[in-house]
Amino acid sequence: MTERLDRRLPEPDGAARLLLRPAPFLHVSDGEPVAPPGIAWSARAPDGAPVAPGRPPRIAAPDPAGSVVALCRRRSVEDMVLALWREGREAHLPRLDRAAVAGLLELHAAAWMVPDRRLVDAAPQTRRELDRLLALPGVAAAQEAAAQALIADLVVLRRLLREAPRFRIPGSVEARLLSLLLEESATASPGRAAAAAPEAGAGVFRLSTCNGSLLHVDLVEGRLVAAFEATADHVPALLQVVPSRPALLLVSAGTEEPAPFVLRPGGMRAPAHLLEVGWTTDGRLTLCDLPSARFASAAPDSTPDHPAPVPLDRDTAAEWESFVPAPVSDIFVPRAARDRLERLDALLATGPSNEAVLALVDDGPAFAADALNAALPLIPAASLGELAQAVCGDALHGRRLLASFPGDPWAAVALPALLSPAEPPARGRGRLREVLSGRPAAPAPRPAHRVLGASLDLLAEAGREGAFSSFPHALAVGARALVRPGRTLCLVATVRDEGPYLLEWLAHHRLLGVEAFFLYGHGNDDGSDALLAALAAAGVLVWLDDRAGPGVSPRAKAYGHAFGVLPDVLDFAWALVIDADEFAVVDPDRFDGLPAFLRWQERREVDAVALNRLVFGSTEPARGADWADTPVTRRCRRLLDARHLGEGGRLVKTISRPARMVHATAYAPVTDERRMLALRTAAGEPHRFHHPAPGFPPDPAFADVLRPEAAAVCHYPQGSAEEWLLKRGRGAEPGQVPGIEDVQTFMAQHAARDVGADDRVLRCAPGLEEEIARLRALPGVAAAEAGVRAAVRARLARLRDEAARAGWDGEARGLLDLLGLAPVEA
Amino acid sequence: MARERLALLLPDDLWASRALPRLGRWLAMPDEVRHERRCGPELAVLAEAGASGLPQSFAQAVNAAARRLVAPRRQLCAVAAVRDCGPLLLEWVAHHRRLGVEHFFLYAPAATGSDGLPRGDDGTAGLLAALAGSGVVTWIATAVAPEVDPSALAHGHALQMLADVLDFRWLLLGAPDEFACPDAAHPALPALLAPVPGRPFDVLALPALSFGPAGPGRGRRRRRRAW
Repeated sequence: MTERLDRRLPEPDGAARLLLRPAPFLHVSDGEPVAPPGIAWSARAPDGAPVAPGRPPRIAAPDPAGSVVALCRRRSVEDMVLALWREGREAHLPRLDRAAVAGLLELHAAAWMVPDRRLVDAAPQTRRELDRLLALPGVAAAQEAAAQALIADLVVLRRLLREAPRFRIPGSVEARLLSLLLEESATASPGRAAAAAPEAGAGVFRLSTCNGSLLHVDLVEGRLVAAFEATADHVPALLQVVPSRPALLLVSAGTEEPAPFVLRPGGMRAPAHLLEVGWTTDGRLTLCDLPSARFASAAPDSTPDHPAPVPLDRDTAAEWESFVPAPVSDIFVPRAARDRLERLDALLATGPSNEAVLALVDDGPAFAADALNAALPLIPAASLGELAQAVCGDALHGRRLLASFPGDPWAAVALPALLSPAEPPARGRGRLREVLSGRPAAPAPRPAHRVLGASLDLLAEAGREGAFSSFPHALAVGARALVRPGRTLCLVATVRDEGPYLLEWLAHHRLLGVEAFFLYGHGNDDGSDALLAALAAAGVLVWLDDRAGPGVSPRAKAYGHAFGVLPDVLDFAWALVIDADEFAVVDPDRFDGLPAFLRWQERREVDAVALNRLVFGSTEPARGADWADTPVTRRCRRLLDARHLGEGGRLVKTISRPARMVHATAYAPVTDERRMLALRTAAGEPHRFHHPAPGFPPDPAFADVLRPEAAAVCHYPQGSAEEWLLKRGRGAEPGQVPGIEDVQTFMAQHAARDVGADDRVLRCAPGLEEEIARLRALPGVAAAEAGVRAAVRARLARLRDEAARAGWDGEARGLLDLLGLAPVEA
Repeated sequence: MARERLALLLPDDLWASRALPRLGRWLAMPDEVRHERRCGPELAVLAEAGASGLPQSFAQAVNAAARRLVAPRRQLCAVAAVRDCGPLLLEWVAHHRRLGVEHFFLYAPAATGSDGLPRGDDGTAGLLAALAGSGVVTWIATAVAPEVDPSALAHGHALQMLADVLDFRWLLLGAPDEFACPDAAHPALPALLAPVPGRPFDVLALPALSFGPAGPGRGRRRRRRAW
């Protein structure tokens, strides 16, 4: 390699290099030979001139053209950086010193070096001697092995420079360095090097924070905390350098048993996570969350008694975000942590490529799930679908891979439901199979009544913030994005005690072009379960009968199920998420229904259309008439002014592409945090939400502008005083009456005089009564409806009685008048 | 006889118990050399002992005096601490063999660390084992704490503990990235070391010059293209 060194610095480096007689000397100190006292010795330069002793010995007038020692530390940039990096690796925490690297680059670019071909000219002779050495037994093989190790290190180093922008080198230096490194002739292909991946560099650390506490895992809360001492609930966090990716640390609780925790609220709960290491200028270390690119911060407010959480939520790193590593002896590293790291390293050494993911299960299931979960942030969003195809398309490996995630609803239910030929395929499933296999699958009937047990309760939270909950979750999201829809529009809703409105609401949306209804029912006690059952049996809707446990939001669980697990929605290009007191409308002069409106929207790139809400106030039925006899959209015609709605007037409902979603709120779709949705207003403009309600973060639920012209959602929150009373009493304890403020709000809208009008809901669905009649004629529907009516009447009687005894006065008395009640003294 | 008594008398003294007995053995059988040696943690003290010039013990002074009496039979050897130089080491050995270095005493970390666990290897150990097997080099496998300066240890060990170097008139203090370059008049190093009548010397100091790759040339070309 010296044959490329054809330049040198003009002047010799001050310190001389020595040839000496071995005998008189005891040692060499700072380059100066040391002899015992009383032993005289003399030194001379190559030209015979005496050299004065000193540390280091200096030659008075060195002749650069004479005999010298050539310092070849700078054979190439690659060499120089590699030497620096290997020095760091010896300390088990590889890093590059920015000053040293900058100095090297300066020298590399130095224009004032003078040509000197001494080494170049001597190279052929050296080469002959080298060949003689290589002919000795074992030398050629050892040389080859050493070259492989060098290549492996270079591969790691290059990857590190390319992937870790905060690897302690300023961007400008790093960019130059990387370009030079890539330019320097590579000695072999990376493929060969991968086979000889380096073993070294597996440092293990604990981290102390800015106030001297130590990073711990809180086993009870399942999160990172800064604590001063370990307890049964707080164990010191263990950080392991990933050998093939030295810029990454694997953080886990240093326990033999898996101790799952999250790095940030809503994030994945797993026993080990990858964090990216960065460096501060003073050599301390920062931890960066991979998906969010935010830094871990240990605010100095932890005390020995109160460990403080360490959130990963800072955009920049300063003192609180820096940590000091303390190496941990191998004996304190549990077997589990080592095995887990080994599996993860094997996965990351090659990408992680689809092949590596599948090959992982060949070595057994132990820690395969941990490794895949940890590696997930490194898998590009765009390749999740391809990976899902690879996993799902490989019957042998794929099934074993998914089996290593016991209890995971995506591994157990969502992915198999999309793919398994053993399951009767719904149309949506068939279409993914079609994509995977290239063969169309036959559609099969699906059960119209399905029970969601408590085992799916975790869907309420999983993915709600857009983070993946597990590797199979990410695969399912990738797989769902691939399904080609066969139909246009479905509707997803949660219903509770909506019996009186159900037929009208279904009829309206059927007339508007909704092809399928997925209704999640929970806690119905107005007899509407029977109505849902009859309608499901008649094939009008799919009833997802939710049995969520206490503390679980049925609405969130429903949306998590619909857009995370349920395959059926994928057969529809669009899903309208709406409640049973809301009726979507389009401008009937422009569109003959929602599908036509969506076709018009689809001329632009669009993943979700936000519809503004038109809120209609209450209207009392004529004396002696029953509100339940007339459809709510026909009774309530008073369009409330924005003044009566406050910030709620800006709330939207959305029609979104189900294949692009992972979850939803009642107002807007949620996609995974690595993707973006194209959100539009009903007018086709970008849906902007820069001005949230005071005190709230920006949220697509609140539109900046109201564009209800082309399409909107008519909202009937009250109906009439009696319906309002019913809705307020939904899920309430017996005897619990609406508060006086609620009553005042109701009375204010009732009293509003400056109301507008909007008759689109009438003009969009002209055959409403006939459609309701068609539904009512289906087997069992009329009987179930009568049951609902009786249950509602019974409950209303109780609620009216309670209202009369509520002791309301002032304007609340007006409500009693509306209800035709006289106050009863309690 | 006196050697054995000294060793018995001073069992904890490195020079009495190790250096002097070794020297004696080597003097008795100078051609029976092992080309793989181990320098364990007990010898780490050699990185500093003697660096001041003042012997730390009586036996150390005796050892130094004894080494001065040995008559060398060969001309030139090299001593170097090598680590993390991987495939580049072989070129360095070839270069200096061409220049007349007859044997190399190379200090490199053992394949297993001082804790007995395998250390991260860049291939140096395998290469040294192969070269030592053929007698080209003597590999002194060091197993000392990381904070011990490898060069200082090599120098202290070679000049006080290693008897084999005494068979050479001259010793080159080398490093794997330093290549000796005699001027055009001297094709090899021994010619530089030829005695100058009336001006004996014990140390030859060579100026050190930094060499580098042809970087700026390419850089200039690139810049021109960019303009």
